[in-house]
Amino acid sequence: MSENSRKKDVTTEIVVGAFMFTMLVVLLTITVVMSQNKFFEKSWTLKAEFPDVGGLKEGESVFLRGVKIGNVDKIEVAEDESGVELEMRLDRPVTLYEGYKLQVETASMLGGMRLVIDEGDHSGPKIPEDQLMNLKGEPTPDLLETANLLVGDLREITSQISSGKGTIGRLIYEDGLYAEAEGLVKSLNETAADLEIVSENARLISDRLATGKGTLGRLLSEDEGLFTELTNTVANVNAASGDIRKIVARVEKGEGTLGRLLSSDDQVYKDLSATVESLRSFSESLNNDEGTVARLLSDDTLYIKVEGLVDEARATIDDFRETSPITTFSTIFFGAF
Amino acid sequence: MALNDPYECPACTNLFAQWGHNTLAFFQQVGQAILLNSRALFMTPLMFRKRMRTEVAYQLFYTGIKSLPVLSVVAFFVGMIFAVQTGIELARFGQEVNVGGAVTVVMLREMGPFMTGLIIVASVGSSIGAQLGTMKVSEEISALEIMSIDPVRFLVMPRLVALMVMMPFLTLYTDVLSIFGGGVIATVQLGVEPAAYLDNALLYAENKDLYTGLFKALVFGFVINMVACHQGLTTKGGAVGVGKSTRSTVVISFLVILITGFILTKFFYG
Amino acid sequence: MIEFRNVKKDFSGRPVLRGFNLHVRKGETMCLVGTSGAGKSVTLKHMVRLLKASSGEILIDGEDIQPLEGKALSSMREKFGYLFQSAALLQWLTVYENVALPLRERTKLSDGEIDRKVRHVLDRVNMSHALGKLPADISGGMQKRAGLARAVVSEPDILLYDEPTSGLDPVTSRTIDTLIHDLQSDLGVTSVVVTHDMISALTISDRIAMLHQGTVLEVSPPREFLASQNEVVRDFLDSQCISRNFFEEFPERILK
Repeated sequence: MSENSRKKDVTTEIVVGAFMFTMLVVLLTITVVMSQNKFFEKSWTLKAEFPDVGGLKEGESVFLRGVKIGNVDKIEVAEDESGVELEMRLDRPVTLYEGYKLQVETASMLGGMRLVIDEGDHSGPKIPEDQLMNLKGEPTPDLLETANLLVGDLREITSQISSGKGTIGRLIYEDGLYAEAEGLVKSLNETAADLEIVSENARLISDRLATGKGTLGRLLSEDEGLFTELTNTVANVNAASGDIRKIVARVEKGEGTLGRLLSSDDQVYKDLSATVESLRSFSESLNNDEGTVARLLSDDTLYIKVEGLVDEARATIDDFRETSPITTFSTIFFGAF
Repeated sequence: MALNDPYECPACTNLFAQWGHNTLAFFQQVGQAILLNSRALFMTPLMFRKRMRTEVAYQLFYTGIKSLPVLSVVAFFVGMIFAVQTGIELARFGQEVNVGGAVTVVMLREMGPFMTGLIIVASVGSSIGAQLGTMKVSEEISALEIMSIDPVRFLVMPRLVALMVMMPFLTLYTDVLSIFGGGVIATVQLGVEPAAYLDNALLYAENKDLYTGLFKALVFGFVINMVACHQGLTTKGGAVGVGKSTRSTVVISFLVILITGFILTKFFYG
Repeated sequence: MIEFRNVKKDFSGRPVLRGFNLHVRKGETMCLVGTSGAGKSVTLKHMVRLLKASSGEILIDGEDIQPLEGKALSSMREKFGYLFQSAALLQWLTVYENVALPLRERTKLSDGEIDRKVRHVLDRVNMSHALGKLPADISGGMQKRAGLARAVVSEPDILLYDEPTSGLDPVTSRTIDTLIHDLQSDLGVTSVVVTHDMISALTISDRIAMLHQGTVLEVSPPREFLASQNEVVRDFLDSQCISRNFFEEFPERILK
């Protein structure tokens, strides 16, 4: 064999050997890293029985307070099929207290499950060591079912809103109430303006009274003539009061409209006063611009905002509807491997 | 003869009889290919013989080292493409960080062995088919037989060893490089920290993914050699025949890789 | 030594050998001549069981080789050296490695012994200068010579030549003829040469067999062959301008 080709053979062997050795080292490294140093680190084992594990698989992560502390090691249906026996291997020991919870949860948007440990109330009694091999797990909520219920509820609400049912719906879709409220506020404002005039008048009156002007003023000043007039008046009034008494008697007997209103039962009065009361507080709060409705009435930017909100809600629901096929897609995609 | 002559369809006018005979001929080809490679597999202990070692080493070199440049480019870009595509979708949900897991799991389980298989079919498989085909038509195979050198031991076995040893290693190489490529995209385009990318990759990837992928690569190595050597050794009819067997090596290997890949995935992941 | 007894062979129903009878004696050089498709190469391939006869017997040293398999077939083949039409050297091995191949694969000789033998044989065929060259880098004639070296290196009892001079220029052809002749006289092997080059056939052979349509038409020594009255033989000789006085006219120095 020529020297040259022998040299080539040696080079070939060296290169092949170097490549394979390198790849073996890489393989070993990856293996060790991916098994999370299981080979060298101590581990602690917990066993629990679950009613069901909702698709949790061996090797998936175990979390405590949001920190990964281990993996699910073994999942087996119990011999009597009463539940699922689950064994987990943890990187650190865990102390559990009365009221602890072991719950299977969805790990991410893309699916995958994880086991979450809630160690329970620290003030409660500790779970003894020998019990750690015989823990009880919580039943697993079905994520998709929950999501479907949520979507169903949302869809119902928004469809009601859309069709103008309910308070919000009517608030949004019927402008009658708005107009009414607007009118009310307007007249309230007018009332307030009137009141101002009244108080102005009252001030004028008291001024005149103080200066002894006019009837009342004169009454209050020292003018004997007027006193006699007043006495006469009182006499008249007395007579008149007799009439009034008669009327009152009639009213008391329940005669006449007013009498019927006031006597038969006090229901109408109560209704009326309740109405008045609520109207009063309503208009008070309206005047104070308190509460959503008030602001709704006094400020139409809010109306626009609400409208925007409903639009957003609808968009959100649309998004959700779009999202579901993507979730399905990713589930299928990852399931494929 | 290293291989028996192909089953001859008797000249018959009945269409159904023809189909039947064609089916028999097909089965003969499949059986021949499997038996050929099984024989080579049983001869693998002979590779440690002093005079076989050089040939085996050369085949390892030719199959493994010579494929590294093209594999590097392919692996790196496949990783980047996969990261870009999954990244776009994941970013819609603010889940970019999961790109590490997505790329790693997919590469380890499926794309690593699959891409490596396709590249090796196209480069090494076609080369084996063409080389053995040329040897067949230029009577070199006959020459070996007359020298009492078993072509299965002398030609098929070293290539089988090379493919079955190198495929897992090359797949591992592809895995590592494509995960690195995905990491570059994750860092540069998606703004995922390299450490977060790796953490996420390790969160989702398991040793099972790695080793099932490598096992798949091993099976692909066997399959590629089986198709290529059989096609090469049954070549007939000069340069045209060599062209045909090279072509059918690539086509059949592709199909068989796809099908065995599916079966293995089904087997390991249900 | 080699005996064909009523051998028949057909490819897909097309008969190639039809009741073929031939006897090659130990130590002689037999040339098989004939037109293309007469069954010359097929006959040669039957001798080493590259092809299996449809019926009839092929005896090598008195043993029917048709039913041989595995180890028995291998040891039967070890009696043969075979020079292919295309030389059939392995393209990725150097000339030296090609010639050393049968020894390395088949014998338990030490590297030193193999080296000595290979160098000796290559020296015989005047190829010592091209030890490290790849077959693709040398000419057709050199490839044939290397192929010849590979065929004789394992010291076979029988040498089969499939068209050793085809595709070569006349001068190189005569060199090959001389080589065949010399090897024959040195090693004392039995040789069967397939050719349609009548000059080769006449100059190197002890007997010439004329094959025609799958049968042996005539077997005779060269001088008798030249004188044959058979129409097919005459046509074959005339088509190559071989006169009846070939041996008188052919310059002796070309042969030796």
